Parts: sequence; structure tokens; C-alpha cells
Amino acid sequence: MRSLRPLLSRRRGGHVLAAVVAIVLAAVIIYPIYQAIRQAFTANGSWGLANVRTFLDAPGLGKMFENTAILTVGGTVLAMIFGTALAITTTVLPSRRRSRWLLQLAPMIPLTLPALVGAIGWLFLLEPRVGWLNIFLRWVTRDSSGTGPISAYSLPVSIWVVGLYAVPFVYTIMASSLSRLNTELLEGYQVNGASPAGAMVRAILGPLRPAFFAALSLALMDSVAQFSIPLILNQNVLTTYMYDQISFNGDYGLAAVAGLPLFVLAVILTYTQTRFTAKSNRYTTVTGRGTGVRGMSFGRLTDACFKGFAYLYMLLGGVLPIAAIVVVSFIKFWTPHLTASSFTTGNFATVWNNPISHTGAVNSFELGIFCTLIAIGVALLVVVLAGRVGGWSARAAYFFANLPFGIPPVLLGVAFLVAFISKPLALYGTIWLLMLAFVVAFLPIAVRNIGALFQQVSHDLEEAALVSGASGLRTLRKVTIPLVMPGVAASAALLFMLIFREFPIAVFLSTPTTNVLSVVLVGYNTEGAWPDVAVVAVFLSAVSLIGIIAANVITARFDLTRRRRRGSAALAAGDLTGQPAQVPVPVSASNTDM
Amino acid sequence: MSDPAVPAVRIENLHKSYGDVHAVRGFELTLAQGEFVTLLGPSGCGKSTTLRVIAGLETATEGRIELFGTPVVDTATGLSVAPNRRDLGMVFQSYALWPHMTALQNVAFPLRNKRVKGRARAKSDESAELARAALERVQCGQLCDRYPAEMSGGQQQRVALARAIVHKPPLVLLDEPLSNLDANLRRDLRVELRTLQEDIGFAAVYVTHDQAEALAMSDRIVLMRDGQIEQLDAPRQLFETPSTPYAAGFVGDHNLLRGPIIEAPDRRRAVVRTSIGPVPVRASLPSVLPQVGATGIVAVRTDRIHLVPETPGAQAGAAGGVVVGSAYSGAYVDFVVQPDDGDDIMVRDFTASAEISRGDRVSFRVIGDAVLTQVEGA
Repeated sequence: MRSLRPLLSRRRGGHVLAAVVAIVLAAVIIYPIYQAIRQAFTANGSWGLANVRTFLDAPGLGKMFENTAILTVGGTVLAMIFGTALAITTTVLPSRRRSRWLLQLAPMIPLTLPALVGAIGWLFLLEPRVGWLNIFLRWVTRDSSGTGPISAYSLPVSIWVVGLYAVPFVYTIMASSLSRLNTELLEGYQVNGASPAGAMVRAILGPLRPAFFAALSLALMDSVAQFSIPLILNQNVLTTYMYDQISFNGDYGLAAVAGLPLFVLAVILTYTQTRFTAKSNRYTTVTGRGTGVRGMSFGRLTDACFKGFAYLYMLLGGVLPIAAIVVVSFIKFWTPHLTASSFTTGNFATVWNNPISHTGAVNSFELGIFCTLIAIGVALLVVVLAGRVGGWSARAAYFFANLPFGIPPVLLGVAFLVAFISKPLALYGTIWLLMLAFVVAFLPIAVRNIGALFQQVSHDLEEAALVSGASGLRTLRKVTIPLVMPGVAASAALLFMLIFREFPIAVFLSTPTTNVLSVVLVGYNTEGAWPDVAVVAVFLSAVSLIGIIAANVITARFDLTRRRRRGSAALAAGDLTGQPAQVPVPVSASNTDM
Repeated sequence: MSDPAVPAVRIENLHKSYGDVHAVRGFELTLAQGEFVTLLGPSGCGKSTTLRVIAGLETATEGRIELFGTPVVDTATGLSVAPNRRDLGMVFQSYALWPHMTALQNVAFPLRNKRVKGRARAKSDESAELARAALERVQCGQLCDRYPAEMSGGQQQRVALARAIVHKPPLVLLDEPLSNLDANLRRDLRVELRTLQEDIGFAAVYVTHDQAEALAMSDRIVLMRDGQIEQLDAPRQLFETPSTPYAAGFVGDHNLLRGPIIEAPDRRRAVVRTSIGPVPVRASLPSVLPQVGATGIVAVRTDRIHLVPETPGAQAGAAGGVVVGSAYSGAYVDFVVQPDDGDDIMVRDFTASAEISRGDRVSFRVIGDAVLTQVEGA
């Protein structure tokens, strides 16, 4: 038992600072949410349920809820199947060293690919007339009708794409708990007569059940709040309904009302997911070395199926949509009948010289850099205050910084729009509003990632510095901060990538002068300018890829324990979703004894 | 250092509790300068907590601590000096070397902190020199530019030790420093550590759960139980005359036997009839008063019982038993013997007599006096 006296608990300045940070964070987070709720219950300048009534009486409401439900459940089921199978493949099955990195890459590809770009990729594959896959299928079946057989704008395709891009959430949680599962537990089932597959099933239903439910909650949440995919693929669900109310009818009240069920659902799902995550951490006991199941075979055929499944996922989630986009980015005019003269490299120059996309690119870069710096800075401050100063004000700061976690970005977008479009704080139309919203939206991920880094620094290291005569501040400066810095840099790279490609918030808050790339892309899509869409999508994917690679390189390069970390792919995946993906490895010399 | 008569550590009525859990209760200790004292006990007995309160890493719930005559903790006045102002060295079980610094940087760190009154912060070349000397001292001079991850556990702990002594603190605290090392290394380092301590002359408070370590290194041992001091004695006294049944059970391999006192020639001596026969005993403390007819609890060391193979026709009535288990351990053999009347006992036989094996009947002979640790009822 030990209770560390916080390093800086004696500094009054720290407590004052914590109080200030807590108040500022509370204001910028609660104010927009309050305004959105107020808007939902205000019509024609007075309080009331008029908006709710309008919403409920709207024609096609049942159909919209039905679509939402089908998309959510379908996407979740797909994601659970794919994600669990992938997790088993990368963490449990035996694999040769040469193929292991490729297998671990599989679940990373859709993360690298923003859902928006994934939706574009599948649109390019399944567009009824010119979609590559449709052309191929018509060629195979000698169909000369010129359209079909599959339509990108059908509900099943949306389910498929939503499921595909919710897989990483499931994979992250399942892979992390599977990798902590004690081998002896599975061997125990087998010694008592279960087949390897039976042992696996029992583990998932038994000790892994909380993790399974945590993954389920997260997948449900992602699917129900999914916005870019149904928008691109023309599905009428809750999120696109909100968007339509605002962009076509200018009815903020109705949009806010439509957001309420989403908000309630998000709160419930975040709560259950947090509970189950906490539980799963308790269930799968971490006993240091010797844990982690690897090399358990289900039989040659089954193993081969699992691996085939992983490669298929890589193909469907990454390779095919990316290929479709890349090809389109080199086409002049997209028709079913292409010849050598249909291709050009001119699209890139066209998009670059177009002031709309040019402004978008500059804004995306600026927002990415500044919001990352601010979010990381605030997160560092909040984590240091909470962990090293302590006290109620520091805890409050931590609580408010984490508050937006789990609120669907669409809702944040609407809330910030409603709160800042009119006086007294008419920030709408300025880049500052986007900056504020992005910082608030990404603060929870930054705080969680950086908090995990600080937790990994073993208390012994700080205590050793204190006993050696260093003050609390000096200990922080010479020991703690240098130890977490590489991790902070990796988090920053990931955060930049996430902010750079952000869409659901940006689409509500940007104006022609404050456009960002993702919004430009959707605009081109609405115009049907597909080669331009493809160019922007290629660019977004490239920046995402660079962000992930940078994060992994930094993590590997500055690994102070100088040991190869297993499942580093899962580590990055977890950082993206704000989930604790890995067992915190104490950054302590004791960890490396030979 | 000031007057050599001033105690290095003086702890009065120390209490530490976490909510309802009382980790340390009424701990008192006075440590002379240059003395090596070990806090010994099972995990959860409060020994590490006591050490951490001395270091200032935990705050005391109640009590007073002076280091070299200067109060650092006094709950009555609310005094609690920060750990960085107590001028200590400390060695951690996990070594706690900073992984981003080389061995030399690790060891030089305490010299670069100007935190103790009257001590100037060293210049960097000067501190590098001193750090190098400290590393030489623990035979790690060749490791200066290595990072902790590039060293073995033993090397890391040596470097950690160099870091704890480099700024010449008059008091060094050691929290189970050897328990992460393998057995051979542990034995070597035990001797090295004690030699180093005697050469430099710092006072040391050493925490361990390993009785062999405590016996080998200490001037005095504090045996702790449930946050309280069970016995405070020099190693030999603790080992040979444990004052309570608990002490006997924890230190030295003792069998605790219970039986009526059948003779009590004076206030210190007695004979107790036990399951292995009549055992001559000395009382552990003056407060343990042998009285004929009362029940005595006797601690008999496992190597003080000699097993004699029972020959057919041996005198009837002598206490005997059956060997129910044996474990060959090289220098000695451990036997588990079930006396005819009583619980199993352990016997450690250094003569390694091969003629006794499982299932044999034996009789017992006790060598020397055993210790009477407690008297119940009169």
C-alpha cells in the first residue's frame, strides 16, 4: 500500500491555476451544450415543446428511425465479427515473423483511412453506373444494362461500410484484452477437455465478457453516431437528418431536438462502455511476464481461414477503396468506357490551383498544428495538475477536460454552431470557432493518452529524485517530463492527423473562408466533381498515413526500455480512440532486468 | 556532521494509518550514527511504510522524527520537512534508475541539486568526477555511459547504491534493495554493502523480509509485526533467544512446542515436558516467569534436535516419533517428524546421517537449552 504525496501539493500557485483551468474548461464545454438544449426547447422566442412536436409529426420519421436502427445494428454486428476475428488472428494464432507485421497492419489500414475517405472509396467501387466493382461484375455476368447490379446508395452498402470502419474500435479492445489473457487459462480449458476453439469461445464468454461488452458499446456508439458515411451514401438517418435541417431548412431547433436521442444514447453507451472497460481490466489479471497467448492453433484449416479473413479485410477495408480513389484521381472524365487518353496528371494541379481547395488545405494545416499544440498543452497541464498537484480544483479540471468524451462529434458541431452563431459570442465565420471546437472535441483523447503516459512513469523514479534532493518542480522537469516526452510527441502526431481530417464538426462550423479539406471534399462530391474528390481524398489519406507512421516511429525510436513492444499496432489504434489499448508498462529500470 | 553523540535517527511514537488501516502503531527507534539497523518482518507489517515516513515520502499520522538532532516530522506542530530537504540517500527495490539518463548522469544527479543548507550545487565537471569515483567504489566504473536498460539487475542495483551515497549523506535508507536479485548475487552484495557502509560510516536503515539478510548485515534488528515492534535486538540475541513465540516463528527455524513446566529451579530456568520429551529451557525475558504446573511455550531450533534411530527394545516411555518426510538440501537434511503425541516438527540435520529415512521410528535428543517464550496459566 502506498499513497504518494503529490509532488507539487504544497504549491498554492498550482491550486489556483487548477481552479482557473477548471473554470475555463467548464465554461467552454458546458456553454455550447446548454445553448443547444435551450435551442431544442425554444420556438418563436419562447420556451415550449413546439420543436419536439414538429419533429415527431414530421413525415418519414418512422422510416428515418428504422434506417438508423438497421444501420446501427447491422454495422455493429459486422464490426463485432470482423473485429473479434482479427483480434484472435493477430494475438492468438501462431504466425511466422515475416507475416506478422502484415497481419498487424490489417486492422490499422481503415484507421489510416478516414471514414469519409472510406465512404468515397466504396462509392467509387459501387456507383451504379461507373463504379469499378459494378463495371467488373457487369463484365463478368455479360450484363449490358449499363447500371448495377449493386447500388452504393442502398442501405446494405451503408451497413457494410459503417461496419468496416467500426472494426478498429472492436479490434482495439479485444486485441488488448486477448493479449493480456493468461495462456494458462486457455490451457486450463483444454486440459479439461475443451477443443482450442471451444476454449476460445469460453474465454470470450467468461473472463473476456466485459471486454466484449465494452467493444459492443463502443461499436454501437460509433455506428449510431456515424455521419460521413450515410451522408456520402445518401442515407436518411438521425445524423443526416440533423444536417439537412441545418443546411437546407436553417432550423436549428429541430436539429437540436433530433440530437437529443443521440445525446441520451451516447451518455448511456459511454457509461456502459467505461464500466465494462474497468471491469475487463479487473478480470484479465496482468501478471507481468508470461502473459499473452501466442501460438495457439485451432487446426491448420481454421487458422488459414482466420488469416484469409484478415487479408480479405485488408483488401476490402483498405486496398480496394484506396485503389479506386487513386485511379479516379488520374481520370479526366469518368465514364464506364475508359481509354488511355482518359488519364491525366492534371487533376492534382487543378485542385491545387483552385482557391477553394487551396484555402481548405491551408486551413486544415493551420488548424491541425495549432489545435494539436493547444490540446496537448492543455492536456499536459490538466494531467500534471490532477496527478502531481491534486486537490478538488485539479480533479474538477480533469473532469471537465474529459466531459466531451463520447459525445458524438455531430452533436458537438451543432452545439457549437447554435452557441456561437449569434450574439453575445458571434464567433461563427471565424477560424477561432473551429479552433475552439476542435480543441474541446479532442481534449479527452489528448488527456487520456497523456494521462496514460504519466501513469507509466513509476512513482519510484520520482521519489528517487526527491530523496536525491530535487524539488518537486525540478523532479517534474528533469525526470517525469523527459520520460513522457516521446509519448507526448507520438500523441501529437496522431492528434494532428485526427484534427486534419475532421469532418462532422467542421461541416457545421466552416464557411467559405474558413473551409477545411474534408468539407471541400464533400462539396466537390455534391457537385459530382469526382476526380477532384479523389485528389483531395488521396491527400487526406496521405497525411493520415504520415501521422500514424510518425507516431509509430517516435514510439519505437524512443522506447527507453529498448525492448520491442508486442502489438504496437494496437497501441496506436488505442491512442486514436482514446481507449487504453495496452497494459501500462511501467517505464522503470526494474522492467528490464535480464 | 555534528556531535557524534547525537543519534542519527530518533523516532518517537510514530503512527501511520490509511483510513481504518493502521500500518504503523507506536513505533520508537533511536539509531546511533554509523549504525546499521534492519527493519525485518513479513509483507504488510509496516516496515516499508516506516522507512518511507523517515524519507518523507509519506506523512506521519502522529509522531515525531529527528534526524541528527534536527526535527523533520512533528505532528504536534504540523512540521513535515520535504524529502528533498532531509539530506538522505535511498535505494529502492526496483532500483529506480532514471531510464533516460546514463549511469554517470544518474549518479551525478544528487550532486546537481542544491537543496540542503550549506551545501553548494556542484559544478558539472566536479560532479562528474565525484560520480565517477562513486561508481568506481561500487565496481561499476566501466558502466559510466551505459543506460539502465543496458545493464544487468546487479549492475543497476550497484549504480543505484552509488547514487544513494555519492553526495555523502549521513543516513542511507534501503528498501529491500536485494530482493529482485538472484540468490548468489544477493549473497555477494550483502557483504559488499556492509563493507561499504562500515568504510564510509553512514547510518543505515535497511528493510527486508529475509531473515538471513537481516542477520548477516545488521548491528541491530527491529522485528515488526502488525505495525508494532515485536523485538529489537542484536542479530545473535534475536536468533538465539527470541522473546515471543512470533519472533521464534519468524527468525531462525524454530519449532514451537507447548507443554507443562515440570521443574523450575530458579526464575530463569525450567524443564518443560513436550512432545519430544523433557526440554531444558531458559526464559526469554525476565517477564516470562516459569512456574511448575503452568503451560510453557518453548522454541526449539530445528538444528538443536538430534534424531536417534530407535532400536528395538529401547526403553519404554521415552518420547519418539515417525519420520514422515525428508528433504536433502546439500549441507543439511530437513526431516519432518510426527511425534507420537503432538504436531509435526521440523528437524535440520547437518551431519546428514544417511541411515534415517521415511517411515523410520526415531527418538529425540535436544542439544543445549531451548527458549521459553511464554508461560500460560499458573
